[in-house]
Order: sequence, then C-alpha cells, then structure tokens
Amino acid sequence: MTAFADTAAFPFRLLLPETILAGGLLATLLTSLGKGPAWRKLAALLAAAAAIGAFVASLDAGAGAVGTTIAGDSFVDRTVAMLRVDAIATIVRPAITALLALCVFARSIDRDDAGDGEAWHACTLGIGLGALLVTSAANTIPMWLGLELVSLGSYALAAWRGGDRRAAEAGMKYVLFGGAATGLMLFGTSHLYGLTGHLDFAGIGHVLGQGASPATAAALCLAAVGAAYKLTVVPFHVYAPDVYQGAPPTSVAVVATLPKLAAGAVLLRALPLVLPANVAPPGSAAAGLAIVAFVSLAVGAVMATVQRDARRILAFSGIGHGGTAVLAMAAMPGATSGGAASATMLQLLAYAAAAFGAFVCLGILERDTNSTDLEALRGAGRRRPWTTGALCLFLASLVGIPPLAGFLAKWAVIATAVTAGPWPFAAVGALLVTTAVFAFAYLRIVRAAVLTEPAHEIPCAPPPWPATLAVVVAALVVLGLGLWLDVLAVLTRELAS
Amino acid sequence: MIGPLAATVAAPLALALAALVPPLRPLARWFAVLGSALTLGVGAFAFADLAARPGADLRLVESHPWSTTFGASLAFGVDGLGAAMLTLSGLITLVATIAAFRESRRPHAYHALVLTLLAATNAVFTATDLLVFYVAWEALLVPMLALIGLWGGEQRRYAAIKFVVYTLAGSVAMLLLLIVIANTTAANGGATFDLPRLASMAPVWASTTVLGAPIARFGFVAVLLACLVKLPAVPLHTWLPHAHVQAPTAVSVLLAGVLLKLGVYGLYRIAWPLFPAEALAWSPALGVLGLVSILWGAFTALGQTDLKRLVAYSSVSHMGFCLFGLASGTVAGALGGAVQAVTHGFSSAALFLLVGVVYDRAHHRRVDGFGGLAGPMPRFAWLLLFASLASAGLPGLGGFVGEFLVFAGGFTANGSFPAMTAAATVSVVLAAAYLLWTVKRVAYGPLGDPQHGTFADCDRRERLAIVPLCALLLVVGVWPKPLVDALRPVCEALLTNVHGAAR
Repeated sequence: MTAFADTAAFPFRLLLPETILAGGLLATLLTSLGKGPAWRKLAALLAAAAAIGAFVASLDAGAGAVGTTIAGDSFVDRTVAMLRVDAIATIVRPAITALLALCVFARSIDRDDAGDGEAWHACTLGIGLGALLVTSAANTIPMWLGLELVSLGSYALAAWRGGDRRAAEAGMKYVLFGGAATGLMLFGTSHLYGLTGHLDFAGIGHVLGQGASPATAAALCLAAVGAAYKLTVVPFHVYAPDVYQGAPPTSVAVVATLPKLAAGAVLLRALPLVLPANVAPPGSAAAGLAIVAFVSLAVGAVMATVQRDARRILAFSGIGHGGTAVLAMAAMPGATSGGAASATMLQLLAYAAAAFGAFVCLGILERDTNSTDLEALRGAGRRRPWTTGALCLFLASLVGIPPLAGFLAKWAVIATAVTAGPWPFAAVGALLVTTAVFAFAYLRIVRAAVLTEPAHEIPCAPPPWPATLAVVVAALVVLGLGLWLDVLAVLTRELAS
Repeated sequence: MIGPLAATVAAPLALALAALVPPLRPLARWFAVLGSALTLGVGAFAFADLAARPGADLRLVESHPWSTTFGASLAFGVDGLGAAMLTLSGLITLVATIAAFRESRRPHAYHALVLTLLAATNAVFTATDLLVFYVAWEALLVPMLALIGLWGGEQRRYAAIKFVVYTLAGSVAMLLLLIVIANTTAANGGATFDLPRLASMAPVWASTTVLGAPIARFGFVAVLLACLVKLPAVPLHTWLPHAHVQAPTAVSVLLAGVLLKLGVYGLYRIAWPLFPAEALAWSPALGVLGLVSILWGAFTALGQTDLKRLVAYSSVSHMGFCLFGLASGTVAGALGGAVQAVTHGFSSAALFLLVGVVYDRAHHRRVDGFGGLAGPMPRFAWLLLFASLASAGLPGLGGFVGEFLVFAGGFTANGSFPAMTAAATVSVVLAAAYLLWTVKRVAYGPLGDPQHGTFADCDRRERLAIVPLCALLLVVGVWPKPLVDALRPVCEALLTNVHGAAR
C-alpha cells in the first residue's frame, strides 16, 4: 500500500474534526509542562475548546471518503476507502464530539487529588479521536487503530484513582479483557485477509458474496469481537461492572458512552457491506446477532437486580442496551429499508445520552459520600433534589417510559426486529420481558436515593456549573429525542441515502 | 390555541411546574385546587353539552399535530364515558387535595406530583389518539410511585415498587400492539393512531396476521392484560391492598377514585371498540373472571382486620361488577359497569377519607381497636353509615344503580350469564355484611379504647371533602337519569358494534 494517493488533495474539511481533536490533544499534553491549578484550568479549557470546535466542524464536514491506491494487487489498481464519512458518520461524529465536550464539562465534579487533570483531558480527547476514527472507518485497519486508541485512553481512565484498589482492579480487568479482545480481533482480521485478500469492508463483502465457508464465518465472528467488547455484549461484557464501579465517575461517563457510539456506528457500516443477503444460509447472521442480543438482555437484566452498587446496576443496564442495539442490527442483513439502521442509531444515541446523564448524576451524588453503594445513596433526594430528579429522568429513559428517548428507541428496535425472523422475535420477547426486570433494578436505585430517609445529615455544596450544564443538556436531549417522534423518519431518510 | 380538553392536561402540568418554583411554593395547594377545579369545570361543561344534545359522538374535539410519520396527533375529545371520567377525575382530585390540605412534609412537591398525576389521568380519559393514551397511561406511574413511596406508611417502598413493576409488566404487551398497529396502518393508507379510525379498522385487525396470528387475537389480550392489572381483577389484584394500606389517605382516595377507573376505561375505549369479535369470544371467560373478583373481593373483605385493606378488597369486589357487566354483552350490563365505575369512585373515596379521619386521631386502623365512636363522633358515624350503605348498594343510593343494571343485564344475557348473575347477587349480602359489621364494630357498642372518648368529630375541612361525595351518592341514587342518559348512547354504540362484528 502506498500513502495517500494525492497528498495535495488531503480532504481537510472532511477530517477537520479529527484534526482539531489531535491538535487539542497535543496542546493539552503540553500544558502538563506547567504546574499549578491555573495550568490545569487551561488544560480543561483547551480540551473543551477542542471538543466544541470538533463538534462545530463535524456539523459542516460534508461527505466523502479518504483512501489509498493499491498497486500491484491481483486486481487492477484501485482506490480503497480507509475512512468514509457517510450518513452514519455524519450523524455519529457530531454526537461523539458533543458528548466529548459534555464529558470535559462533567470532569469538574471529580476531585483532582493527584493534580493530573491535564492528562485526564488528554486521554479523553484521545478516546474521542479514536472514536471518530472508528466511526468513519471503512477498512479494518483504521477500525483497529481507532479501537486501540480508544482502548489505550480507556485503560488509563479506568485506573485513574491512584492507590484505589477498586480502580486498580478496574484498570487491570479492562486491560486484560481489552487485550484479549484486540488479539482475537486481529487474529480474525488476518484470517479474513488471508481468505479474501481484502482488508476493506466492501472488498471482504465482495468476495464473501461469491461464497462463504465456515472458516470465513469464524473469521468474521472473531473480527467483530473488538466492536462487541466496546458494546459490552455477552460474552465480552465481564469487565464492564468492575470498570464502571471502580473508575472515577466521569471516566465511566466517557468509557460507557463514547466507545459504544463508535462501535455501533462501525458495525452499522460494516454489516451490510460484509454480510450481503447471499452470504451464508439465509437468516443465520440475523439468528446469531439475535442470540447475542437475547443473552445480553437476559444476563443484563437478571444480574442488574442483584447488584448492591448503583454503578454496577448501570453497567448491567449497559449490557442490556448493547444487546438491544445488536437486536436492531439483527434485522439488518439483507434488509433494504433504513428502518433497522435508524433503530440502531436511535438506540445508540438514546442510550448514550441517558447513560451519560445517569453516570454524571451519580458522580455528583457520590461527592457527598464517596460511594455509589445503594446504602450510601440513601436520602440523596432530600440532599440534592434536582440531581436526583435528573437521575430518575435518565433511569426512566433507560427503562423506556414514554415520552423519553429510550421509549422511542425501544419502539423503533421492536418495530424493526419483530418481523425479522424467529430468533429476532424471541429477542424482542426478551426485550419486553426484561423491561419489567430492568425497571425493578432501576427502582432499587430510586428506592435508595429517593424513597429512603438519610441515616444522618451530610453537608453538600452545589455541583460545579459545567457539570450542571452537562446534565441539563443530556436531559434536554433525552426529552427532545423522545418527544420529537419524527426523528425516526429523519434518521431513516438520512441513512437510506 | 388549545381547547378546554387540552387545557385539562396542559394547565395541571404548568401548575405542577409552577408549584416547584421556590417563591410560589406556599401556593402549591391552591394550584392543586385550581387544577382540579378546572378539570371539574370542563367535565361539567361537557356533561351539560351531552344533556343538551344526547348522543355517542365526541364533544369538545380538538387536534394538534405531533408526528406525521407516526400519524400521531395530540387529539382530544370526550363522549359520555369520557366526560363522566373527566368529571370524576377533577372531583376526586379536588377532594383529595382538600384532604391533604395540611400536608406538612414537602407540600409543594406533593401537590406538584398530584397535579402531574391529574394531567396524566386527564390525558388518558380525553385522548382520542392511542399514542397519547399510551404515553399518559405509562407516564402516570412516575407520580404514583413518588406519592406512595415518599408519603406512604411503614412499607411504602415495597408497596410503591410492587405497584410500578406490576402495572409496567401489565402494559409491555400493549407496546408491542401499538407498534404492530403503527406498521399495519402505515401499510393500509397512512399511519394513524386516531382511535375512531382504528375502531373502524376492526376488520383489518381481525384479518391481518402477524407471525401467523391475527392482530386482534393477541391485541385484545395485550389490552386486556394492561387493563385487568389496573382494574384490578383477581388474580392480578395483589398489588392493590399493599398500595392502599401504605399510601397516605389522599393518595388512597386518588387510587380508588380515579386510577382503578383507568382499567375500566381502557376496556370500554380500546379493547371492545378495536377488537369487537375477540371481546365477544372472550366474554364468558371475562364474566367468570368478573364473578370471581366480585366474590373473592367480598369474601376477603369479610376477613380483614385493617380498615384500609377492607375497603381495598371491597374495591376489588365492586370493580368486578364493571368487568362482569361489560362482559355480559348487554346494554344494561355495560351501562351498569360504567355507572358502577363512577359511583364506586364516590363511595370508595368517601370510605377512604373516613378511614383517614379515624387514623388521624387513633394512629391505627385495626377494626378491633375501635368501638363506640358514634358517641364522641356522631357526624363521623352518620357519614360512615351513609357511605357504607351506598357502597353496599342500598336502593336510593349510588351503589344500587350500577349493581342493579349489571344484574338486570346479566340475567338477560346469553349462556351461563344468568346463573353467574345469580351467584354474583350473593355479593350484595356479603357487602352488606362486611360493611355494616364494620360500621357496628367501629361506631357502636362500648368504646374500644377509653381515650377514644375524647376524639374530636369531623372538622369543617373533613366534612368539606366527604359531604359532597355523599351528596352525589344520594343524587345519583335518587335521580340517576343525567348520568345514565350520558352513558347510555356510548354503551349502545359499543355493543351494536360488538354484536355487528359477530354477524
């Protein structure tokens, strides 16, 4: 492979969001040369500016592809897309950058004991950059690179609390499982390359369309592990509860949302390309995805009810919601309508907004007691009525109470998956049944935080304004996405083009 | 601009938000009075319109666009049943607000939640769009959870969570139905959730299959399940005694007076009109279920030692009449069920308020801990006797009208209904037994506790809440014509439709 076919025509506008984030990342790192709170504030400002700049740039990036020209291949010379800013990326890139900005704002609630705020912001921008790369990847190489960039930042964020045993465990688990997932993914990708001679999604799909073998099916499954790990679907979910519990609150808000959006986006792009309707026995891909969704929902719901820590409950909620996104994808292979794609997209967006809000609210509540154990949340509603109210709003969206975003997303997923075959239908059944089970699990948080009197009075200061702003924005998104029913039609129209 | 029915939804919501604004907090209870009085006024206005021009058509119709792709609109309109329920909702909320007027624990939040609940129930009773109906149906769980869970008794958390999980589980199948309806209408000339149009598409639901089964077959079961949990019908009733016992008095009043009616209303508004053939096919089974609820509730009430549990089980029995009457497939039966829903709203609210009166003074609700209260509290004893007799169905009082019509309908219905009706009449004896025995044990005989001799009688605020309910029970009992005239065209149209679908 050669470098860019024509460096003079580097699509600057197309990749401006990535460029801004990379610049912001470097600038934030430079601030670590200085010491003192002023420098840390500067780092936060730079990070926020970079994220907001990337958000603005992503709104007006246009569409297009970045690729390489392959020479001396068995085919004729051809251009292969590396990154493709298509409809999916056009929707998800603004979402990721906006969420990134909110994460930077939300960071204001973390106690920065170690004084390494600038490094936190650099890591977070790195995760954002990786997420953007994954989001627009049209080739296994940038997808892998992006996922690794996300992982490296996430490892650090998970273990951020120096000297905290839980945080160390979280980081260790994340690294071990993440390393294994990366290895499996690379292994699968190399097999795919060996079997098909291609690394780009379209090329792989082109060869698979001419006939697939069990070996290619196995390779595909392995190659998908990296994304499945980020989406926290069973069986790649085991790290999530420990990481979500042990990492600092805003780290969790980052790690639980940005990678999921990116992984969902790349799966959304890759699935129709890699799995044309004629690959494998008809319906087998849908069945496989639906089974993953079914098991994720079942495991997430059952385990969520027995947790004693609010963040662990939300971790299992994330596993269920990852399964729900996969369920929407199960309706996709061979489907021509944009219904499945828009359902997946809405599910990802609704989950990201609600989960982000819930984790930040828990982070604010955690400031008072240093714990999100259900016992420690007692009386939070009395102490911080607005924060607790917002937390309840996000939980209601996660369970799918109308008229919130989670309801519309669940609606869309069921509408698209219910007719996609017997396995997706069974998974829809699981989705409906687990609604009540998840409701019970979330109600345990509500019960502790709202319905239980505090054991003793705890003094508390109002949360910093940037965090409040982040929560308010997330709440407005959750409400707006739920009330604006036509968003589904808009997404469908955009994704079909 | 918005019309009167949309105002009964929008105004309570706006007042609820206003009640949370710190400078306005002291006014919160007046906001609740205002919101419920407005609802009551709009309901009465609709009633006056119905009295002037009888008919089964929708009144005060209005529609605001919401989503073109879903075919959903913020559409409202009431017929006789909707107007009756709206009026009931306004009246009971007003009464409950008077009962909780001296609420001292975070009163602004309490009244804001009551107003939110009022907005949601009004939306259910007035919506002519299925999506609006469903959104409100689900959303009202949130204020209810908070009202029971925050202001309730010792085991309030358990009761509140049980209530929410039960009702949520009951309505998830309805979500699936809505999605199927959306897909089907989109394929049949444009997406819509307009209830009259959905009702006119009954043949489509019966003939279109999803996954090998007609939509009507599972759709009816889905709506039925959601409604039977709310109603509640035995064996889906087990959340009710807990919720009632733990809820504060005013919330018990709302629960019995308004929320249980949602289940009845859903059957009349969704299940029967959309799936008439299924409704007819299920009628014998639902008749049995209604009968079981009537008798089970009555027998269980007989054995209760807690006054609130007693009234809660009597509610199960009385709401069973609504189901039984509708299932009988006769106009008289359906009419009786609807009238029963209204009068039970009055009588159960009055009974819960009276239980609240003694609980306020004695701080317990054990039946055997009372006695002879007629001495220190003569007004209380009179009101208790009156409400109990009305609830037990004494001729001339409210409860009689509905039960009589249900019996009349049941005896003329087909199949096993006459026999089942005969069995159901036993409940009249049982109701008289458990209610009057309770009145005797609470109000007459020697004082249950010497300290009870110093109890103050019902004060002006308590009378202001209870007396209007008793007066309405008397009015409906003596002169049921306005209520019956308003409800009859709806029931006639409903059953014409059902029997027409069978042919």
